[in-house]
Amino acid sequence: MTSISDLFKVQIDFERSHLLFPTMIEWLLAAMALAIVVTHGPKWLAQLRGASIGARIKAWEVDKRRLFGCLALTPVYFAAMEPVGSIYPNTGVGFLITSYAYGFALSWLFVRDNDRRKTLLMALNALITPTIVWFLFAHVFRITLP
Amino acid sequence: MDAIFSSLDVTYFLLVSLGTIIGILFGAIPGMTATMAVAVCLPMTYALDLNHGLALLLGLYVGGISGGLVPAILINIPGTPSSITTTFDGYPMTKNGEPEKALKIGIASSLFGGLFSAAVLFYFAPTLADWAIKFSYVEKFLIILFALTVIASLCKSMLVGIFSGVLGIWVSLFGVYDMSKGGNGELRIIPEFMSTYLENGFSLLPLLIGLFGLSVIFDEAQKGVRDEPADNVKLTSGRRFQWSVFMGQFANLIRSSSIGTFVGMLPGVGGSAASVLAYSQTKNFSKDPGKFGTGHPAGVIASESSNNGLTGGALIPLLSLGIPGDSTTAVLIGAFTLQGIQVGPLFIGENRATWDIMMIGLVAANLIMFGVMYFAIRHIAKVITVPKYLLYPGIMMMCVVGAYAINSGIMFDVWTLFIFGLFGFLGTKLGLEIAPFIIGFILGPSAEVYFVKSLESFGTLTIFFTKSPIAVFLWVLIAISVGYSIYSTRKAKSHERHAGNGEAFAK
Amino acid sequence: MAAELIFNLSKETSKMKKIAVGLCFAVSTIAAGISDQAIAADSPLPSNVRVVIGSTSTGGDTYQVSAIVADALAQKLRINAKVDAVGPTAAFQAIAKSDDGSTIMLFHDQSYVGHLYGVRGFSDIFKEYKIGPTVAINPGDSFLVPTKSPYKTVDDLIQAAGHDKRIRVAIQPGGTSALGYTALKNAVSVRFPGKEGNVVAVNTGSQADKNQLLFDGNADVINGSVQANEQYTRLPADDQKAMRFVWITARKQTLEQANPEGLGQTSREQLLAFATPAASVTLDGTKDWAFDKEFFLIYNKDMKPEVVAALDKALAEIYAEGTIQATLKKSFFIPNFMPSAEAEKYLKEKNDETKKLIDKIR
Repeated sequence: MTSISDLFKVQIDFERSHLLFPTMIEWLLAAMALAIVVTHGPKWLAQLRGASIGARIKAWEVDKRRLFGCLALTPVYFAAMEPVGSIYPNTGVGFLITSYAYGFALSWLFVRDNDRRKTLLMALNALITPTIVWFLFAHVFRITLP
Repeated sequence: MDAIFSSLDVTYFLLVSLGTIIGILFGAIPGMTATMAVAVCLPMTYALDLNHGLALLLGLYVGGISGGLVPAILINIPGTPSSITTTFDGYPMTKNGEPEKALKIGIASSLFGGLFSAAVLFYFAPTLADWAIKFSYVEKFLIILFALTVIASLCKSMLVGIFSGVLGIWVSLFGVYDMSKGGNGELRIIPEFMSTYLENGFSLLPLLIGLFGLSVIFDEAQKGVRDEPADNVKLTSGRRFQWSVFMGQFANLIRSSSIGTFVGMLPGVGGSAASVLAYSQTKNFSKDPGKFGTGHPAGVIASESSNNGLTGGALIPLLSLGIPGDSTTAVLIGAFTLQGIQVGPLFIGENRATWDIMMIGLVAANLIMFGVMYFAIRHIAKVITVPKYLLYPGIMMMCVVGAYAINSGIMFDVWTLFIFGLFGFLGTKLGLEIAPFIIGFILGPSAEVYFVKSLESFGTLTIFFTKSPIAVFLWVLIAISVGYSIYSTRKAKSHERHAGNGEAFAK
Repeated sequence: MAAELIFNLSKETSKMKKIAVGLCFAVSTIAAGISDQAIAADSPLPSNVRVVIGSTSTGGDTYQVSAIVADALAQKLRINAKVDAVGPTAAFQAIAKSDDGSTIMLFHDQSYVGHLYGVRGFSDIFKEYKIGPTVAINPGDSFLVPTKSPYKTVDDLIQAAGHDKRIRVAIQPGGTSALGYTALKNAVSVRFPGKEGNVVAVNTGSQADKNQLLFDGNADVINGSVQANEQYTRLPADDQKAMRFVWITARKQTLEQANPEGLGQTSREQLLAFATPAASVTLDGTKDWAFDKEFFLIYNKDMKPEVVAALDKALAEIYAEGTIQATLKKSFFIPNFMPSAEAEKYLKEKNDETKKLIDKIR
């Protein structure tokens, strides 16, 4: 009988215990990936043969200007925040100034059929929203902002 | 008794109200949580005496947990991790023109969950705490395993869903094996040069709002940010809210609130597991599980009553063991120690007056939360009428504030937003399922610690089955959950076959 | 939400007045924010100071001490001081970027003990950073056994280990709580050479996990604190949660400075019975090992000398006034101010002694 319970005995080496669980999960992940390929693979292949990749991407209807504009603006916004903020450290001014610019730029990018009224709206929104957010969180609640 | 009444002055109730309102604000902003609300307001309580300080903090706690339902229902972004499941049926209701109804259902369920858990706390705290300490590493691991199995009942395609969940667990293990949880502090999965940023892995909150918030904005950008013509966005084009919606939901309310209270009571299991468990159990018990995910009120009821059930539950170990049940109550400990009050197994007996005052505060906070939100709802719901080109920049800024603030000012957390915004945007195109991924990510670290520590302590795999009757019972639950998921998928498949072709990749 | 407000406002363009009011509000708040800069121009310290701490918990002792000290500094220097619980790695990164005093760090002995244990993310603070003044001590670090345990004192534990009983000690690895374990092991090796292997660590995390190990019978003794565990020691013996102190690691002269009421229902007198020399864990056969968990400031290596001097001076004045002592003691901290030069020398010595102990037991 001892042999059966011995089968389930495990000795954990603390120095290496950080690898145990990740390794198990990686094997499980690989097994799941394989299972997906086996069950769905043939269907995918058939679909791939049915239409060229280019045609598939076209079917997604990508609005290039808005999508890539947004994907470019956002990292610039994030990257600028801390350098701008270091002018007046620990005041949240970095967040405030970059948010003015980003807020307006993103609205400008997203808006359709722009007119004077909408431009005014966007400018006001880009000015007031960050200011309220900044005032409330950086000043009233004293949350650290860049 | 005198001590109680001398503290229960007008200021006391004003502070509860103030706390509740600020809490709702924090909860409603994507990326801001109840924990953050309590943490930033903690210094304000230095100037107050203990009872008044607690009034403010309890209000913040209840308000913060409740506020999360607002963005979850209106814009499909969970305000807090525990309102993820609220988006499943809450947002579809908004799309069906019933945002006001969904919000009111959510608020009423929150009130029920809050009051239910307060009652449990008041009557059973010490007894339940003695029972909770019977849950050792082994039982806690099984609870988490149980919560993980519910992924199967939440996903569209079983294989892909489970894959997404396992991927979430894997991503949650990035960085070091956390020493503060008993790990050995060694780095794994990620290469050494990335350890400056990823030493502690990705933070949950930025990851969550990246996946739910930013990816939605990217997706809209891809589609060209078209606003529906104003006539389509009617606040009450669907059916109006009526209390009769709760008819036949009593079992659901009790079950979900109990799950919330119970999960809150177990330190280290993580509050977000509560709403996931409650939602999937409600779905499994339901006569027509097919309705879930399409705007079924029962889904909102389950999710919201369970996450407010957490509040009373998490206070049980805090007040009867001195151990916080979740991250928010961990901050509350600070309020006690700053006032020179010890929390521990003798707290309730030695501080009878404070205990009674806390209970009154908790009940008051729930009632005030209901009052404030119920009558403010008409105005809050108008958010969806704001054109997207004005709304999205605002959401983006809030997400940044939340992400930057979650670990008290770390820029990498803001980049996490972007990374997972992109990941969510591209991942869903490839068929990846976001909800299982995030559930895996949330539960992954605890699953690891409790699994490895169980083996370290007991040295055998059989311990998972033989540790205690509780362990055996949990295995039965796990077996039922897995069995039911397989059964219902089979049933759905045969339906599909009748209907025609399926879709998995061609999304 | 502001966007909604603006949108609704703009529907009636005649209400330009309100928009103008909004604009004025916006401009004035920014002006208010910037003008904060100018007020404290006479002090070398920036008017907005961020105090980062080596703990991510806002409910723990580091946050508490930091809040008390930051508050006192803010009032004294008329600046804004904000405590941010960012954790050790991020805190060191933050002060590495700030040499003007706009970001300073407050942490305890873990900052160098982590390096001595070879924990990731901890470098030699005496080389890489500048040591600031010490501010307080938490004398609460302690070890506990179940009330029903056959071991009544720390000496029982050492004796048992010396006589081939396995003693399992629950600790959080690599931290100040691991030091007590190392010292216990060292004491066994001094008194019963070769038997130190009988003292084994059960590596775990939070206080909840340590308590749980004791309740489950998976540890014989746990690391804890007077603050978190005092109530457990007063439970009736038949309660499964009941515990007993066996050892408090603080120095006797430190514990003696606590308020006579002690903590909860346990008086200072009772607590002293668990500290050296009453509870003896020997270092080398003649001297007892004791360790104070000290909190101190850590600066950027190239911090401006005038800022260092200004902080020393401000803290010296604060401690001379004497109100901070009462605040600290109320929360069971022992005030302990040492200006930066003195603190650096003192902590360096403490570091070297601790290094000897850790290297010996490794």
